Amino acid sequence: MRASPVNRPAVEPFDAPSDLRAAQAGDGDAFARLYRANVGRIHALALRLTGDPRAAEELVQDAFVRAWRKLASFRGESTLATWLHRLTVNVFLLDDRGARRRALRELPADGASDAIATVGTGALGPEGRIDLERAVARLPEGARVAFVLHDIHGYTHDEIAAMAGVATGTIRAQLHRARRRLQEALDR
Amino acid sequence: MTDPRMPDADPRLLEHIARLPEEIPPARDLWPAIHARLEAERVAPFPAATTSVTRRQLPWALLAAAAVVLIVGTATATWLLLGTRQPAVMTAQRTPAPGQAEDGIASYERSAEELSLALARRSARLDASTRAVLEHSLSTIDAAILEARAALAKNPSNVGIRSFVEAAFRQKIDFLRRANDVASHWET
Repeated sequence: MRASPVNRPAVEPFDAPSDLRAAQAGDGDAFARLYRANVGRIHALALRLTGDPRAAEELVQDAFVRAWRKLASFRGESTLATWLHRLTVNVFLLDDRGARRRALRELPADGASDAIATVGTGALGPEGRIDLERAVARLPEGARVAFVLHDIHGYTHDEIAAMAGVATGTIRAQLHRARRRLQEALDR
Repeated sequence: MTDPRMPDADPRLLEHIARLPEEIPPARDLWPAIHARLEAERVAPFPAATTSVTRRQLPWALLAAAAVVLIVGTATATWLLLGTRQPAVMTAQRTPAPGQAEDGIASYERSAEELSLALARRSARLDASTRAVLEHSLSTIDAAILEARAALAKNPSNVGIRSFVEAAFRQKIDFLRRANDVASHWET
């Protein structure tokens, strides 16, 4: 994953090498510690990708179950946090992949207002400022996934397109769509 | 605020993104559910406490792992043979050992990872039930490898265990090659 310049963690979560080695060797306690160290970041990602707290919890669970299965293949070319991040995105995209890809491909005709109203409604904070988390959750799925992965978590257009199995241009269009919706919410 | 990756983005939106929290802890502890799934699904032997494979237990652990690998190898090879539309062109050669002793396992790991990535790309075109068979078989092989590596970590000088780990990796590489063959034929 390429870290986002605007929401990049200053320091990656500390991955205790001894815990990692122990977990790779099958130590359940060590894996539990790795879970505790990383669950906050993974849950934040899951919440933004799914836009739904319950679905986010399920995604977190799926991701850590998959991580346990694949931990033996982790070779340390990135931090464990980065590896877990990408694995979570892949689990999300692979889950009901056909639907995800359809959602990413769905683009309304120019001028259509499929989500303009809903993004703005109820997305304002107590001081009139937009609650970006809520506004993102109300975006259409394809636009939300593109925005979350690119603008918040720093993936490139090409990386997202490759992971989702869609054209890069589609991701650009979804991103444009998401920004337009969110900027409209800001203008209200 | 400006962002070179997002030159056309509204600065107000960038400010909101920058303020987003890096971590959002889930509302409830998800670990018990994850732990239960790891045990219930028998993804891999998952100890509630620290793993301790004694000398007395070791042969049984290895035998169990070996049986899993052999069973998976036989079952999935059958499935692959029956499932392919063009079995005559499927390669089924044994995997030559890519390295010796210490770096042998690392070499196998690299090969397995490359093949896994190739399969991940191709499997997107397979139907869900076929992908489920592949994932289940791979997770079983990975579980066997994980258990064997746990034994090796506790007995690093044991040549027999090392040979078993390498054999398990060869099984995985063979499986991945066959699966890639089948998936590539289904692409056409």
